[in-house]
Amino acid sequence: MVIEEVTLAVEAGDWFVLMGPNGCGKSTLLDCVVGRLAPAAGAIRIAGYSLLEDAVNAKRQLGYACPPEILPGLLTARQCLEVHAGAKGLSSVGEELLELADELRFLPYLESFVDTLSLGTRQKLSVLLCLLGDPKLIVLDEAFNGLDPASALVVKRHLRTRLEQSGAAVLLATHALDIVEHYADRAGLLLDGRLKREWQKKEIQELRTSGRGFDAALAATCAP
Amino acid sequence: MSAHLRLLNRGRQKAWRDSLLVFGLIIMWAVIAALLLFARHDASASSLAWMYRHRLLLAGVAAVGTAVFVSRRRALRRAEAVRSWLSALPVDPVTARWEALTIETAPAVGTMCVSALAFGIVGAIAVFARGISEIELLTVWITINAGIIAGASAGSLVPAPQAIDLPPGSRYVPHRRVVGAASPIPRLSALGRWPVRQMFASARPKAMARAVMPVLLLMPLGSSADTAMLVIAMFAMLGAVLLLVVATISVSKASCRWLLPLPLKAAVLAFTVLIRPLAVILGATSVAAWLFWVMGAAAGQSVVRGALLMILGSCVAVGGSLGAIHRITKGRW
Repeated sequence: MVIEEVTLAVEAGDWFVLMGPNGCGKSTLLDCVVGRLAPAAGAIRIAGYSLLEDAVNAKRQLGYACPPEILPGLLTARQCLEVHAGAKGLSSVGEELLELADELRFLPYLESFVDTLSLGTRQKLSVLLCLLGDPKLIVLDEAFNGLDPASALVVKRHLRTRLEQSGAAVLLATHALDIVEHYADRAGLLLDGRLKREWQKKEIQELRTSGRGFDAALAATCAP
Repeated sequence: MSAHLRLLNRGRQKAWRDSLLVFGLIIMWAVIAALLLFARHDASASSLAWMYRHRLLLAGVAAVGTAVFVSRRRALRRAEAVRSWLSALPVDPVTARWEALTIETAPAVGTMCVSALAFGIVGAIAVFARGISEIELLTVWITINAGIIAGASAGSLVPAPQAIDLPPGSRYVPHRRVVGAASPIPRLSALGRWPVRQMFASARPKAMARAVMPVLLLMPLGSSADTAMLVIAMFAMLGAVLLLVVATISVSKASCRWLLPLPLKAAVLAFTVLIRPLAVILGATSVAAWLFWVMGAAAGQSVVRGALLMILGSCVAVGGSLGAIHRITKGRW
């Protein structure tokens, strides 16, 4: 069993960061949340729809930034966007997303095959695909890996704005503590497949105002 | 060391069980082969006599084949070994050299074992049946094995070529660039293009050139250029169908993994991925039927052959694709 007794609720407008050492089950948990893995027991609900019983409606509320290696190498970036938008049943890709693509300096790569793109550019494509169609729950697995600092900042700010304006929720698995310190509302530490500790909004606010780094809080939790 | 690690990772119990199963299967096949050969021992004797007459040719073929195979395997394994995490381990150079030699020449050793088994079976029959000369049998076996050993030694001594990083598969895909296009339009049609592109990406020019060589060499002397063109065209059509079927199955799997978190029904995905490859298979097998007719087959016979090829290709593509999607979704999509 990789994950046991994990109960997690991410409210609308919340940015939840999932942390933990390598192999603790972060990606497995996210794979269960997005429907790539079927849990042996338990339930997953996205915006009120059960992922196991009403998968189509649940997945309509979901945006998932897949790992770059899963992206199809022989399709162009434009075709990836078209397929994702088609699969989500959208009538158009949306001006806001194209503006974000422009801000990320991604538009020149629209006609390039994915297998010719660098890791960072594929990561940008993955994030753009995830944000198609205003999802209620945005799930990102190490989505800032390979992104240059300027692009990472653009994505972080965009996510923050999106949470405030559209009331979406973000579930992000990462090792980058600066995101917890500056952007996240809540955080959780996954250890050996169990959610060992959760930091609520108030605790994170206190950490921010005190100026202490989040690494000290994390070290205190992990201490034997 | 690799074999030891593999044994540890797989579990000794399972490894022993697997070995026993393989051993049992080999014995069973050996008994069946012995019974069949005993029933047709006259044919075995004449085959052996032919092999005895052409033993030097057979040894030469075995030597060339083994040399090519061992040197190719050597180049591939060395390119892999450089990237492997095992390359960072402090292994004694002498041990590393012996292990590399064992891994690289493993197919040659395997062939020698198989030939020993085959000749052993014929030898056992020679004890009971008349007409099979033990001396001829032993001479043929020794000559062929000498060829294999010579080939393996030559293959191991050839300087290893430098490892080459293959270019992205999309380099071989014909693609019309869209200049100044509008914003992306939501549609799934690109999924249908993916298997066809995968087919082009698999058909790398160098690999195709190498694959055509034996086809040309097998043509009888005196064949005209027209015949050669027809044979190559037929080879290209059948090769395209084969590559496309394989590509369709692998793309179904990859697209399913990619699109699993999206609200797309499995049936829609399968339909979108399959529709274009099926049209291409229909086109390619129609051309193959026309080529059969040009080669001299009757019109009706050509159509039947083309239709059979189309049905076979389509069934394998559809079955493989649906099977791949079902395996990934486990019926929950």
